[in-house]
Amino acid sequence: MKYCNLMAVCCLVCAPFAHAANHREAPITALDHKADITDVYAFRSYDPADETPKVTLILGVDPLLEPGNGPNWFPFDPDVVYELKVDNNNDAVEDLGLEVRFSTQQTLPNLFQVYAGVPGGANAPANSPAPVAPGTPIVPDRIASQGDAGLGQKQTYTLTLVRYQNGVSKSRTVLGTRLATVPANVGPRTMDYSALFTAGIHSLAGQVKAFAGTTDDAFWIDLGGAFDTFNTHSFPVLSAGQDASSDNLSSDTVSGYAVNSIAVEVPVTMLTRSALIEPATSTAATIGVWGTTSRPRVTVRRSPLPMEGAGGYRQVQRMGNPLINELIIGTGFKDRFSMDVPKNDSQFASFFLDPSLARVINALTAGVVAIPAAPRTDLLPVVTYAPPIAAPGTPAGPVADLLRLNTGVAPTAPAAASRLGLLGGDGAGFPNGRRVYDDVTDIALRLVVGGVLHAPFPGYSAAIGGRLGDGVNSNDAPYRTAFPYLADAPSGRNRRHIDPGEDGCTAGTGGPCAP
Amino acid sequence: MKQALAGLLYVGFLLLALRVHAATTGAAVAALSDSDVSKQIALTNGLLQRYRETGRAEFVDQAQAAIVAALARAPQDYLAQRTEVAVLLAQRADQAALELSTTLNRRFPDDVDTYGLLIDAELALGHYVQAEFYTQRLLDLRPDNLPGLVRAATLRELYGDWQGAIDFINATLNRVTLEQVEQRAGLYVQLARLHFGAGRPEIARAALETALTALPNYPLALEEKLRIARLSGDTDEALKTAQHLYRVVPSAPHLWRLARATAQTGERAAAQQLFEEFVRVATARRDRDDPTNLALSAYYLAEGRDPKQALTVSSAARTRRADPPTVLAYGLALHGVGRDGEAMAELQHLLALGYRDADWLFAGGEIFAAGGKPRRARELFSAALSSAPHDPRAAAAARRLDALAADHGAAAPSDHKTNS
Repeated sequence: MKYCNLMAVCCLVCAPFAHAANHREAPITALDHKADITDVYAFRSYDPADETPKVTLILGVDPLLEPGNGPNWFPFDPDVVYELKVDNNNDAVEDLGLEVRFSTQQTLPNLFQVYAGVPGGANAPANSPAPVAPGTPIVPDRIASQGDAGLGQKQTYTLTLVRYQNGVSKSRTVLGTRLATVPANVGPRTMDYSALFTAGIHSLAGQVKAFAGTTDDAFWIDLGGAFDTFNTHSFPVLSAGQDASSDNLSSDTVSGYAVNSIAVEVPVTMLTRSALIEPATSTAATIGVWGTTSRPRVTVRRSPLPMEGAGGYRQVQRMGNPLINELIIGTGFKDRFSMDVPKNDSQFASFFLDPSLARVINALTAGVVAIPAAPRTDLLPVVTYAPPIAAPGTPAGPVADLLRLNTGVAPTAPAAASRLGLLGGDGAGFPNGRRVYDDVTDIALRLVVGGVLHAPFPGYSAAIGGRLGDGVNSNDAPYRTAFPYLADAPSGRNRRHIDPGEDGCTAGTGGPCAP
Repeated sequence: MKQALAGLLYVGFLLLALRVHAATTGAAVAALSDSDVSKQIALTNGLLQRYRETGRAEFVDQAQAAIVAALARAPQDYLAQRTEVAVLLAQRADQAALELSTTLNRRFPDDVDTYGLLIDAELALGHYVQAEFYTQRLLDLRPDNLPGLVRAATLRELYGDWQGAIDFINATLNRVTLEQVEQRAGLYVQLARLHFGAGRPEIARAALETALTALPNYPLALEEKLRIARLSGDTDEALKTAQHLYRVVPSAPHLWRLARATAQTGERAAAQQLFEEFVRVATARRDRDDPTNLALSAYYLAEGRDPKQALTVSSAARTRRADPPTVLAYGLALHGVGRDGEAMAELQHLLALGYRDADWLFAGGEIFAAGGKPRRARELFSAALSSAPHDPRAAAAARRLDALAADHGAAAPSDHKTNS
């Protein structure tokens, strides 16, 4: 019998396993919604009024916001540093970042909700009991601008351009400060949300534009079906006609939900390493984009001079390509993935290059959907700098989850664009960057089962693997066609979540879902 | 050519990554325990809990049997393997615990409990850089998680940051439910040690009373109570506590503590009998990997007057681990045989990190003085006297400090008050 080390096992506090959940893809962000990145978009701006080639970068956070969820709605978290990062020299290390920090001011401390208003306002009536005298203003006028009294929770933000050298911050330039944030769309009586939205688009020096606020969640998907072990509401192989249509066969689970969005538009020349507009064939044209959220860090070692700053920040989450952490990274690795930097993604290469999702689809369809053998080098263009996104000769860089955008590819006009992006013959769409209307679910499904980026493999069928889809082909709300390209947040009073089987699945046309 | 080579290397890397992945993918699909295995794991954890509550080593043996049964049924079961690490740590098989926890961490890098066990193993082996690295990662991964806060407190204590460690323990206490009695008691013991180190003995004693109210025979609390009494020069309280401790857990190290506490009260004959009994018991266990050997080493250095034997015993322990008690025992034994350079090197690593345990400071002062480092010796003696002015060693330390100051032309002799 050994005498044992009591201290070694003292205070062993075992927590139960935590598992990932749908849109909140990593355990840590399932617990920290404010820092949960929903989507990252990066695309050549397609506003026809733009004369200068620009790129719009969007970071969505705080998923599945129920628009009517007052009385505080959805402020950005002032403790979180939100950042869009760009690698422009193919090493998967940030060369510049657009950092956003918020501050909050409450101006209606005695009212029970942070936003309130009715057209013309409402005063105490003649029978108002004392001590409130008749005529005393009770409810402010409908909110139509940031200065209105009913906007009791005001958020402003500072946008800073950070230049990095080898991933270390070397210079910081404030691009805008005290920029107003667009609130949640409470409802038509309380506010003129569209006016606030428009006023929330800030034109800054250097042809930079910025926007932050609560918007429609631009993502669409049969989320419930997808996560019911790929039990989508419509048959997951679309017919040619269905594939070409923008009608939804299934309901968009994200319909009627809002999200907090940060959008920044900058000239292409701010992003490329040459500071030039590079042609698509240039090895300097392709950038890698990802978003991060970070919170102040608790450190093992305390700073000897706390007044001079504590332990910096810890990264809560990052995101480059859509659905990587959700559908590719294993549950036991998701937080580890979230907190690490893209240049270290070789540790997850096995997930990228032999995705279990592909094997699940292969198994669930009893092999009808064939998949290529591993290692899946056909997926390298998504996780390295490689053709057809990057120009031939571009250094591949390490395996890294970056949203790669060839800035030399001219934007496609929305009317001519394909929801299937690059797979649909539209070179300006995902996985060359990502636009709000790119159907990344269908594209990702097809990428993951293979045969679409590279030459087809034995067993591949363009009519099966090449037509996988969740049956949701378009968003429930119409996108703007100019910066920030996002749709209005649903009204808290009138929002509509479209349920499976419900009529009117498709915004605009209102077409029915498939029975 | 260069590009082709890079391409080949790249594909090689991918294939390697894939093989590693393939080795773990099967487990990922059939990962968790069936119900019988789960019961064995729960039993193992329950037995480890009983061990912590009582200090009775037979519970560890039973825990080992339970986890062996679980692993026989499901050798790759993650939770079973993680529980095995806890058993290995309880058995002081720290290297094996490190290897297994490292493997498990690679298999499931988001699991905070495996990180905690991995850090325990690193700490036991004296790998402080790695322990801090993993602890920081753990705090980054899941802010305010219990395993992370507890280990971070331990590291801060090792670095001499008493208040910082107290902050973490308080934060941990806020997160442990009232029903987790042993866990709370353990945290109060840690809190007591920290407050005592920070010069707040009354708060330390109150914390210990809280722990002992929850678990009246809690060995960890009794050990700490004895330590505080000893460092405070309260020989009666020390003897009473040592007797209580030995009654609760009649182990060889506790017998040695009882003998020493008895000797401190001046009961030389009774102490001699206890020491003789201790030597008899400890010698019989000498070939085992057992903390009894640290007590035996201390005995050989003091009462036994045989530093060579002390060195033999402690060096064997030192090859297996590098926790502070083991390092101190080995350092003192080296000093005992006149190998002061090595003794200083042995202690310096942790002292340089900021470690301020009173026993270390007293011993460090002696060793560095003997090793020809009077300035460092003065620092250590001075810190020791601040930390435990009523310790029985304090008078001698003050004299040594004064002598060192005089030898090296320091301005003034010690102004520390001791119980001399």
